[in-house]
Amino acid sequence: MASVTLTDVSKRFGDNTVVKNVFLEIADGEFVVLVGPSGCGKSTTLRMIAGLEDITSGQLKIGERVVNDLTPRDRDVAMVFQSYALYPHMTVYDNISFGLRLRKMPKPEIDQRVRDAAEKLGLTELLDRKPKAMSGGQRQRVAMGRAIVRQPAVFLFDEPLSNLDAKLRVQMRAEIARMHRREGVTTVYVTHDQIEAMTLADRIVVMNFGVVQQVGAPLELYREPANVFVAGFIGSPSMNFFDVDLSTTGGTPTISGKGVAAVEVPQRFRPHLGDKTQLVLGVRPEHLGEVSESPHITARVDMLEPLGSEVHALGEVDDQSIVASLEPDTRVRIGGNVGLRMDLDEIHLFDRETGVALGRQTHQGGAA
Amino acid sequence: MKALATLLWLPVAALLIAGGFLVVAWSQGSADGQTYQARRAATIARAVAWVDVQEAMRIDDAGKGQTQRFVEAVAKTVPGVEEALIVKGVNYKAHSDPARAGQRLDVESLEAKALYDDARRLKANVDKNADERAKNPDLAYDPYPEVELRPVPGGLQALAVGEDAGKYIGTARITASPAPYRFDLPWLIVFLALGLSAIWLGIGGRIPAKPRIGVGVAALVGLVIAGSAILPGWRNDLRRAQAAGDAATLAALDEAGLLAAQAPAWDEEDWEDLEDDEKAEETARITANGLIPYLDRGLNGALEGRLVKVQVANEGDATRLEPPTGAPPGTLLFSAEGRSVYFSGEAFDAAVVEDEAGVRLWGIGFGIVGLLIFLLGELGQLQRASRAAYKHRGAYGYLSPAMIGMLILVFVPVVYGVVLGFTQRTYNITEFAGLANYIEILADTDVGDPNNFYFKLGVTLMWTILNVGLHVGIGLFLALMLNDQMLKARGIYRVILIVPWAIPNYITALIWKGMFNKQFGAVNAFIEMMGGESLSWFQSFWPAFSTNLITNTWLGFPFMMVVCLGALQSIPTDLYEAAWVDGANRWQRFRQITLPLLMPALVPAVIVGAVWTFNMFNIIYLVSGGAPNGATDILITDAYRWAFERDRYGYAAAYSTIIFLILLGFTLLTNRITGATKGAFE
Ligand SMILES: Nc1ncnc2c1ncn2[C@@H]1O[C@H](COP(=O)(O)OP(=O)(O)OP(=O)(O)O)[C@@H](O)[C@H]1O
Ligand SMILES: [Mg+2]
Repeated sequence: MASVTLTDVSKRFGDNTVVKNVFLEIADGEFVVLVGPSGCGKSTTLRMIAGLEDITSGQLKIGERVVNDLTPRDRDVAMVFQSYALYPHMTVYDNISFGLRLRKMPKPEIDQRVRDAAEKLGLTELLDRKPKAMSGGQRQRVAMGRAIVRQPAVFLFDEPLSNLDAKLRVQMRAEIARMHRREGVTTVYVTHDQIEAMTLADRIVVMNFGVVQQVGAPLELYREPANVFVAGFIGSPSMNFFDVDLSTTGGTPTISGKGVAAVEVPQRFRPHLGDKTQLVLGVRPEHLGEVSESPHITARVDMLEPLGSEVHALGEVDDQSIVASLEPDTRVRIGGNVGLRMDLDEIHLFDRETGVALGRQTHQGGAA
Repeated sequence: MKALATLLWLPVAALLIAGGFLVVAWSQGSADGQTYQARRAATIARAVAWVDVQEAMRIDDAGKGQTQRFVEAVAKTVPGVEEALIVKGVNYKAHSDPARAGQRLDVESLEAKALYDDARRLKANVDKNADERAKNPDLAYDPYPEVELRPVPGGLQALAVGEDAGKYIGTARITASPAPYRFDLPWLIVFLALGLSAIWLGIGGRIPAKPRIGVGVAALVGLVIAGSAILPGWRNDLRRAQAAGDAATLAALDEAGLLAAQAPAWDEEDWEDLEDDEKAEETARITANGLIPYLDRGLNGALEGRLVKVQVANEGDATRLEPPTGAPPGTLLFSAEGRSVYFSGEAFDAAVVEDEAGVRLWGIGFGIVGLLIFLLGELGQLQRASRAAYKHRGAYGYLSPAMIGMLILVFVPVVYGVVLGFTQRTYNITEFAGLANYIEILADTDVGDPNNFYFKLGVTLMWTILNVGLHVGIGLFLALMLNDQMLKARGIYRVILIVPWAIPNYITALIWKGMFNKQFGAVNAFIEMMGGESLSWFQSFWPAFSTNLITNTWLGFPFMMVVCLGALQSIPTDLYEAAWVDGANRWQRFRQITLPLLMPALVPAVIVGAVWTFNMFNIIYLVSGGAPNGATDILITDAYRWAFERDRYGYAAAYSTIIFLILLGFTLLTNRITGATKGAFE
């Protein structure tokens, strides 16, 4: 087991820099999830840690060792691929024991470890099968088995669950969480499913265009997104944004914009306003409440998504779309209007020019 | 109505079996008649040439005119012989028409011109052989040259050359009409079949369905047994007729006053007094010195061992149609015009037994077909099949052009080839030879001889294994290189490396042959440039074998390369990355991932490649051409040489059938073994 440290790591393919100056310290035993939109460089980052891609510049340490120039086989990492990459010509047993056999471990010990892993993952019955003869979930477990028997210093997962159906995904997610709790191995996990990220991670790294946007615990990202991108990326349904202008009426700073009634800027933002006048207001759907009088926002409802515990109302305000999470017994109807009031303790303000949340110092929220 | 339909199958099957027997009897009978006629003509031609040689070699005048007497006697006493003559240069030395004896050939007539040309050609052969022997004393002198046979309108001609240790004496020619041999249809079988069918139609309907099939089968089996019992008996008569014909030839010799001079007659008592080994010795003496070796040879010149003794009966003694008590044990006697010939009973019986076995086999074959038709008919399979064929007539209609094409272009030639393997042919006469070709090929165990089958098989196997090994090795290596993402301009290399494959292989073969030329070849030029000594590539085995191997490797690796490349590209890179992370180094990734995953594509390619190489005619034939002395020939080129250079079609067909069986066995075996590798992607 070991920590993983990325210091100013970048990756270029030709002229295209796909990972830019990443600083990241992953503690021993920590479960870190990389999220971000497709093509943002998650896999590339992971593959650099695995050693499958060269590092263009910067330094990568696993434990105390600088591993920039070590091949994957010398890094003591195990990786689970999105495609599982099971060896099609080998049985489950041989797939799982492959790494151990290469290391010339004594037969009885290999057998012991393979059977233990198979036991944990419920694969005992399948040890003699070949990958072709198994379901997606079973294959996924074999891929995990292959990683855990090695007892590596670091586990790397690249979207391991994205080929499974929703129900299996929930099951396997729990499995991975349990495994991590049990083994306590440092884990880097790539996904673009934010529920996976939120439920599994000790810390989440949000990336966009090869740049780390914010690193933090799941709730921290939810509550205090560092910028518009993170705010919009984390949370489902995602945050509603409105362009607002700041004006000072009678000494109190007030924001107002298209479709949004004027509201006083809450106390906590005031020290950070500076001379900015163009802001973005962000409010999550769950922080919008239905009111009959003096609403902040009046939206026309286009669609209702009743989920049982709540109803998502999708609507429009002055050509901007909006989502609100309403009580299940709401009387709102499609085509009707609904008055909404923001929970002012939970709103976010961002600098419209840079996208940075008010109160945040830097654009990038890398771990210090 | 339905009952009648099921009853009909027995008559159909019975008539089919009887018809089959008739066809066999007729075809074998006429084949035998032909063979017999050819054999007799050949025998007489040899005898005439021999008699002529004897006359020419005599210093005194005692034998003067014996050849003329002999040809006249032959034409008179031997049934079927129309004309017998000896020609030398432009003169008839002897002619069965006394008026023409000693006359010049009428060179204006086409017939005589042909005779003159034939004689000239045979003389040239004798001279050439004598030359060769003078140069190479190891060459054996064969005093029994082969006889040339050719059909002519209404019969056939046999030509034999007379020589005395390389000196040309003359050419004998016999013209014979078709064999005086009567062919009786075995009507008994036909009547049996008809009778059986009639009885069946009368009472068959009363037998309940289940036992009826049993009765029918029993009836047909009985018919087959009766048939195979009748046929061989009928064929023995034919043998006897042949033996009597041989006796007639001897009678002619005797009439010419030749037998007394050559074969001492044995008194019965004297013969009785001989010890067994003395009898054998005496038989051998007669055999070795006298006429018998000339009379006792088959079409191909091989000694048959049928005649063991010739006895001239005393004047007026016509009683010896039974073997006299003094005849060598186990002999059979045939006589003609008072002269007796003893045949080896053993050789005679062996021939009869072989014949019987052949006929029985055919009989059983037809029996099985008949029984199948009967059973399928009774069980309704045939009706169902024809109904299905009618119902799907559209589909079968569309298929039929292809099926007919396959039948004509594939099935018929293959069957013809296999059948040909059971025949032997001398000039234009083809005769059924049973397994003789196979025995000749397989029983020859002189493996050091380059023309031996096992030697060739060894060369072929070595050729195949080395080639396929090199093709796969080089092909795989290049495919791995081309598959490397780091390699620049891969497309260009790929095209260049496929070029050898794209050029017609005989062009490549001829180019390589030229490059291996001792004087002008590029290979020797290169060797000399490097300071080496130039090599006569085709003078000894290993260099000659190497030229073939190099050429075929050049031709063969692109195929394996393309196969490997395709297979390599279908292996997901994920697997390599996973193995790498798991701790596999380059070699281990190749050994554990690449190689096993290549197998499903590579194994069929190797099997196909092995079969191709095993039969790679062009390269061997064009590059080394079998040099030196056929040592580098493989089975398929040797089969070609047997057929088209040595004119032994039957032998060549048997050869090809053996090659086919070897490859069939190989394919079945590999298919079975590689069933295991099929599972790789499953
Ligand atoms: N071998 C390569 N050569 C050139 N460009 C590459 C290569 N591999 C990845 N890229 C580029 O790098 C960028 C990041 O790719 P990466 O695979 O890391 O994305 P990702 O975040 O994993 O996306 P996804 O969620 O779709 O898997 C992409 O724009 C991709 O096109
Ligand atoms: Mg990815």
